[in-house]
Amino acid sequence: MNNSKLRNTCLVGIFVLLALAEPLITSRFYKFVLALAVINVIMVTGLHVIFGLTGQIFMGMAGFWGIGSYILALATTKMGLGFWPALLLSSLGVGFMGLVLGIPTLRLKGYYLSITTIGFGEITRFILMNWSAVTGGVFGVFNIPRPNFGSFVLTNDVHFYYFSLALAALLAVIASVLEDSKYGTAFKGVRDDELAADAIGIDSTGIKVMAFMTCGLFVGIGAGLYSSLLTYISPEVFTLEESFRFVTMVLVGGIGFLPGAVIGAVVLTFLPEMLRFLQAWYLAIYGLIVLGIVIYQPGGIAGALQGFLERRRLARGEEKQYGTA
Amino acid sequence: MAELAIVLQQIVAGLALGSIYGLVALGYNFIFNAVGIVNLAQGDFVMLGGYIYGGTLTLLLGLPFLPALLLTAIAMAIFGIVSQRIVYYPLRDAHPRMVMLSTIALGIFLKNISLIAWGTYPVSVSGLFGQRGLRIAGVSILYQYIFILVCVIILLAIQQYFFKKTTLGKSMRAVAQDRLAAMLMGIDAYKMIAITFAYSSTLAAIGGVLLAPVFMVSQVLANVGLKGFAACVIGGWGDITGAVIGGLVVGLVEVFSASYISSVYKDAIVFAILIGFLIFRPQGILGRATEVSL
Amino acid sequence: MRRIVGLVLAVALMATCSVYAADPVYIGAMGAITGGSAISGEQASQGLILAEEDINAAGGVLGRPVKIIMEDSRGLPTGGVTAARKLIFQDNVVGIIGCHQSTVVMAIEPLIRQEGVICMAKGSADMITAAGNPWIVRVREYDTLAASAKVRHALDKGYTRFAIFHNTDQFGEGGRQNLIDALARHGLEPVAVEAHNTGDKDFTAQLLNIRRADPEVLIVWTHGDEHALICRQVAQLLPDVQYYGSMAITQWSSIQMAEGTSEGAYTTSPYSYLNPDPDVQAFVKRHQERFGRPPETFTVLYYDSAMMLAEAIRRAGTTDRAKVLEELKKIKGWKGVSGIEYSFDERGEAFNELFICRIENQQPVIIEKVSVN
Repeated sequence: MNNSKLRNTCLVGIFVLLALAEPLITSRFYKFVLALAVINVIMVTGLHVIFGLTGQIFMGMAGFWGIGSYILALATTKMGLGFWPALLLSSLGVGFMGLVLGIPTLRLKGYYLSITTIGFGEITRFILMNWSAVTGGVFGVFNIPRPNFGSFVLTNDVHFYYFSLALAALLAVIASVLEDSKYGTAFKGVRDDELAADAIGIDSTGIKVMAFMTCGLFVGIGAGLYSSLLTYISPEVFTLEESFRFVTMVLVGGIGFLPGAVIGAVVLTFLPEMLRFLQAWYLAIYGLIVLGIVIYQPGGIAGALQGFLERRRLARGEEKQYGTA
Repeated sequence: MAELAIVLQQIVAGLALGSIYGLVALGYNFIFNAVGIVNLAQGDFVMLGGYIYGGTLTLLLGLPFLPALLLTAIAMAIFGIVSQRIVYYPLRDAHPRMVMLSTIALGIFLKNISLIAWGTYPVSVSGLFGQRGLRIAGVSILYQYIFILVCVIILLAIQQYFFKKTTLGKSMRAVAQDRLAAMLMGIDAYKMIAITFAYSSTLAAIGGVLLAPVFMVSQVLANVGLKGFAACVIGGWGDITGAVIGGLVVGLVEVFSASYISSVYKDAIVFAILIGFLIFRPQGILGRATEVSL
Repeated sequence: MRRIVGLVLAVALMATCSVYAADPVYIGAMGAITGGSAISGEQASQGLILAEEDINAAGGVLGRPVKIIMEDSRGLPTGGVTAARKLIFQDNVVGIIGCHQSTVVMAIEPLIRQEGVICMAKGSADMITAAGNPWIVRVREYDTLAASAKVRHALDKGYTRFAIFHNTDQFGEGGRQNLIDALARHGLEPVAVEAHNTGDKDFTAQLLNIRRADPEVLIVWTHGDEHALICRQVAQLLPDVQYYGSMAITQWSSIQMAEGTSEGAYTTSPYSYLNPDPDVQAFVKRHQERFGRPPETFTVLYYDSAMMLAEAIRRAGTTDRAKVLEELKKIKGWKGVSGIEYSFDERGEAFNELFICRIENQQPVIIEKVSVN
């Protein structure tokens, strides 16, 4: 079984499980958390392209998330656009931001790129907070509509959940197709060794811009769904800690393996809610868990899985294959 | 005349803030010079130093300034060695992005464990000078700020001397430039790295001790880390004098942009300038730093 | 992979099938336990610990014990919406006390309305009760009340040149607008308006801009940490200006942090631990013995809210939320440990009086009690 096949099997399995999980969860609280988890899956699918595949530690997710949420919120409540054009606008808008952020950072690598994206996220938050003429400032945006099909509005959280899940699945398919295309190879080339990628003729800067843009297009959809689910958004949410939370989701799942990132998103959305009883200890323990994963299990859940499959293959005496994670 | 006093006061405030950022930048720079990595938890180390000094040694145990400072420095040096063992050593051969992630995770852990250890109330200590200050021609300066500036200059001189003149310093630079070659020459690279973390954590401890009387100690104190980072970039990575100059520049930019452009966007402006430097002048203001391939 | 997913789902399921033991009556509460405003959450939970003890010592409600469940909102809307759902759908609470951040209350407002849960809000922004949600009542001074009391007090002292320095969050922005409105009612405009972000440490630039405008009064609208630092820096840069602070500067912790520089400052506050009222002093003494410091404003407000909600449940004779809300809104002249008498009006505001305090000898001395009418 090669890696794309493994990935596809896992993805199908996860999405089927997510679809089946909804009726099994009886608590309306956890149903809501599940909906949040699926939205995070969409966001992380975007981040997977830039962090997982291309290897750039993008610390500006909160910026993308904030811009996307605000585009949908403002387009529907202030410009009178319907949900669908607003969602499209949100996706394109954040995709465009990806381009805008990608081009000047062409030459930047490693820490410099990460710090630039931190700066981008923070600047975005300051603008959302203080440009009140457009964003409504700290008071936020109210009465953001739910998605609709004709006159049928998804006010019911269950309908909203399956709608988001369908979108998430669609985006996962697109991301997988992209990964298997020649761009996917180029993304991974840049991740594994940027200099070598340049040497074999991959336009590493162009590839990075493209990764940023793709990430933006995906995140814009997730962000739009987020503000539609909550119906109220305000700017102080989109902080650096949130950016790092998304990076952690990919990390926990496994860098470079989309099903891993998806699991990471689901696990890290549920974990804080289930650890509520820890109260103030939760974030300290969360920091320790992340630290432990970086040091002892840098491949994340996916790495553990591939290690397991590897061992089984060896036990069966099959030909050894190398994973990418 | 009144206007002149205001401008002078702005300059004083900018330099005062700037020397704080410069102090943090020296800590970043030291690790970078010695190991070639960036400890993104440096701001959290400063916060921890402040908590140990203010929360435990001063308020809880009632120690006077000098013993408290000394004990904080020792505690942080030990903490530096331990954390080096945890967040750097296991990853020494991994991609630098993993070190970056591990130091961020350490930062989150430190912020939140401090909240549990020292509570949610900011720790406020008077230090040597309290809120006393000088007043010259309508311009007021806290003694504490003068003290910080003096300390920064002394630490700058020590660091310069250390890397240029001492064998230990030279060995450290060799380790940073090429660990393998340094090891072949008989330098115990991992011992050097441990010493590096110990010293840069001591710098953070001094930072926390000096900052506690003016900023108070809370989780927010860790935010000086980002400003210190900006100072390093603007001054040029690895350039020790540059770090302090970078710090002063950041401080002045902050105060003047808050005064004349927008007080609510002042941090955004610092970030924008930081990004500008990263893109157009990554070698920093003095242009002495070698192109960094982090 | 499946096993992992299965495990995750199994854990999720176990968590959802939590026991619905009908024994205690659950009251929900919300505040920041982690994050930048965790200090408010800590104050709140101390008040709730004492309230739960007192309610149960008095025999609980409806012959059942009361359990108060405090959830972490992180002080942010994202944390608040999940915390509120947890309280409503998992714990089936009668009502939610909090959150102390106005944005969080606004974020849970649609849910509160939809599910019909009592919310005893602790945010001060006017918009909270202006939203017209019948389920939201407020047990805290609201911004227009505080702003007009401050302005009136300063005008009575003969000041006319006002400068405003506010936080850029919802609390500060609301305060700025209310102050400007209050001044406008007296035909005045502020001579300077400056702002700072949460977490800022140095305010020299803003204070110097204010100095240029040469005001007589500086009204600062922000939270505890920033407030203490602003007091210190005002003492350096604007020593001759009369300082009017937010409620935060009467807090015992803020006075310590200001290191004497808040001396002489005026403020409006719903509470002062120096209030000679025996009820207040008894509570202060008890809190001091238990937690080692006097109670702060959120401690007494959360305490009073829990006591009132318990009383409303007793009067209603049921945990039916609509009936409890009806009884809650009938409460008039309830004497709280804050020293305030609460009477809910048709908007759901419990406050119609407020103290003017002055910091004297590092103590928040009550100067007078002002009321709306």
